Amino acid sequence: MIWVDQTVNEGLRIGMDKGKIEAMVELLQNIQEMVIDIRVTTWQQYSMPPLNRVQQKQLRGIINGTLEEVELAYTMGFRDVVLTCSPHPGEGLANQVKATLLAAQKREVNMALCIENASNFSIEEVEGLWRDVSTMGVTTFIYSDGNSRLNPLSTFKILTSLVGRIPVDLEFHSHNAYGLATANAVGAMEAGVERIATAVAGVGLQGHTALEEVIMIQKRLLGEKTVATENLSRYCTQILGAIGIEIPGTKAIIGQDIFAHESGIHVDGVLKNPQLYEAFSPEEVGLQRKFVIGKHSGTASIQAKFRQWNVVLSAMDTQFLLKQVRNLAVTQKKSVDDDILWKMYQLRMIH
Amino acid sequence: MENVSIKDDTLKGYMVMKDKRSIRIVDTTLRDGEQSPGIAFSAQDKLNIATALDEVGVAFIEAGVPIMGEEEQQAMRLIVSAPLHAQVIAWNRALQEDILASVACGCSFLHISVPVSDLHIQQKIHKSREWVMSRLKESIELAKSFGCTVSVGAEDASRADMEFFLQVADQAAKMDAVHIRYADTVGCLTPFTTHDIFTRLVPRCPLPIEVHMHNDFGLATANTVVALDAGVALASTTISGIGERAGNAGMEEVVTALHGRYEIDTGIDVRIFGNLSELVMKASNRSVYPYMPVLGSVFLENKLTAI
Repeated sequence: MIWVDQTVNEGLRIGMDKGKIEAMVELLQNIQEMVIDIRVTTWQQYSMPPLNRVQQKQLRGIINGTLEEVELAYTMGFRDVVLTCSPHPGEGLANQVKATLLAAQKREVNMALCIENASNFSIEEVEGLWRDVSTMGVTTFIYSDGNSRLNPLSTFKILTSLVGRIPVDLEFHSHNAYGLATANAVGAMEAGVERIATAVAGVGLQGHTALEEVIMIQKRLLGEKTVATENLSRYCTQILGAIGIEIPGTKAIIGQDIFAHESGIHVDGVLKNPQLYEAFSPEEVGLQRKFVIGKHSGTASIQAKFRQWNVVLSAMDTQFLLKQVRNLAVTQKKSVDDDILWKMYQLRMIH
Repeated sequence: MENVSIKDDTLKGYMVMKDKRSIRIVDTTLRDGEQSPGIAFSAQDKLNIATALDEVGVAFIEAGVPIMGEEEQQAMRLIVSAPLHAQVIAWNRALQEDILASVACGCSFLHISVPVSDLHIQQKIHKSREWVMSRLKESIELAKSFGCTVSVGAEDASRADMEFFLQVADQAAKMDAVHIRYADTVGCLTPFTTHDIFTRLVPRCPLPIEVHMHNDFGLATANTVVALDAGVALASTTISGIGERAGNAGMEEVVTALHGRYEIDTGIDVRIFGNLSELVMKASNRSVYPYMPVLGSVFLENKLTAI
C-alpha cells in the first residue's frame, strides 16, 4: 500500500514555518516511505530551492494544468507531477489538459492525472475520460471524491469496476465533509486500490482519510501486513506539531486520552482483561493506559488507584472517598487529580 | 455541492435507499458521552443539554445512570419532570439495585444492558450465557412491574455469537421490550462487516435494532450510516462524538450524512447543531477539533456540509 501524504500540503496552505518543512518530511518517512503531495505554486511562494535527489523521490508536485506550471514544476526539480482537473459533464477532458500532458510527456516527468470531481461521473464516463488520455504517458490515474459524495459501499463498487478497466495505477483521494473519508478509503482498499491519499488526523481544507486510522484498520481489522506502528502516536503528534495543530486527546488511534478509563464498569473490566474495553493495546501505537478518577469512578477504580500507592482501602473508606470524589468532580467540572485524592485520604485517616 | 445535480442519477443505485424510512436518534451524550474521562456535567448542565437535544428533535434521550449516586439522581429527576417531547431513558445493568434506583427517580423508560459476547460474559462477570439470560428476564420483569417501558442493550455484540444476540432479542421481544441495542463496544467493525451483519440480522431480529458504534478506528459514523442503510431503525449518537476512549458516532456527522448522502430523514433540525455542540463542549471543558466534519472551524468556513 502506498500512502500519498496531504499533510505537508495543508501545512503550506495554512502558512507553516519554512524551517520546519524538512523535519516534517523526515517525520513522515519515519512512518513509511511516502509520496508527499506539494502544490507547486505554493512551494515556489516559499522560495524553496530546487529539489535534491532525495526529495525528487519523496515529493510530487501538484499543478492545475497550464503549460507554464509544467515548466515551473520541472524547473523546481519535480519529476513526479499530478495534473488536477475538474472536467465538465459531457465534454470530456479540455484540450488544455491534453496539451499539458503532452508537454509533461516531453519533459519525461511521471504524470498522474487527478479527476477532482470523478464521483460526479458514471463509471463509463470516468473510463471515457481515461481513454481520452490513455496514450499520453499518464502512469497514475487518481479518482478523487472532491465533493464527499461517496459512501463506503459506493466507493467499493465504483473502484472495483475501475480497477478492471483502467490499466495504470489507480489512486483514491477522498474528502471528509460527512465524516466518511476513512471508511471510503477502506472501500477503495477492499476494491484492490493500492494508492490512497491520506493526511495525519485527516487534516485538509476539505478533510482527508486519516493516515493513522487506515494503517491501524489495515493491521487490526483487515488483518494485513503494515508498517511498524509502535511510534505512530508520537510521530503523528510531532508532524502536526510542526504545523501548529494540536491533536485532540480523544483522536482515534493517536489521541493522548484514548486509553484513559474512568467509568467504574470500564475500569473494573480493563483491570480484569484490557481486551474487554480496548480494541488494541496502548503499546501498539506508543500510548499509555491511564485510570482517571472522577464522577464516573466506581469502587474498583478507587481501590486500584490506592493499590498503586500500596494502600489497601477498606470498603467503608472506599465508599467515603467515592462520594467525595464524585462531589468534587461535579463541582470542579473535571476529574480529580492524584494529589487531591491522596489529600482526601489523609484527611479521612486523621479523623 | 450545487454543481453535482446533473449526474446524480448515475449513482442513485448506490446512494439512495430503496424504501424511504425515517430513522430515529437515541442520543447518549448524557450517558456514554459523559463517561468520557474528565467530563462531569452538573445537574443543571444535564437539564440544559437535554432541553437542547429535545429542541433539535431527537426521539430518545439516554439521560444517565441513576445507580451512580445522588448527583446523577438529582439530574435524572430534573430531566424526567421537564416538559420534553423526547422519551427520557435511564441506563441500567441487569441488576435489581440499578432498576430500583431508576424507578425511584421517576424514570418510566429503562434501558437494561447485558453483555452478550463470551469474552465479556466469561472474563468480566465470570458467568454463563444462561445466567445472563435469566438475569435479563428477572430485570425486565421487575421493570415491567413498575409499569416501565424497556429497551435492551447487547453489550459487545460485535464480538458475540450472532445467534446468542438473537436469543436475547427473542427473549426481550417476548417480554415486550421496544427495541434492542447492538453495541460495537470497542469499535471493531468495518463498513463491510457492518453491512454484512445487518443485512443478515435485520430480517431475523424480532425487534427494531438500534446501533451503538464506537470510534476506535475512526469508523463510527460510517458504520452507523451503513447499518441504517442496511435496515436498522435507530442510531445511538453523541453530540460532537464525545464518549469513551475515541468517542461515539457524532450526531452531526451521522445526521448530515443521512440527510445529504442517503436521503434518509431523522426528524433532526440541523440548523441548531452549532448551539447544541457549543453547549456540550462548554459543559465538557472541551473544544471542537478544527478539522471535525460538519462543525469544525475549517469545515464551517468553507461551508462544506449543508447545515
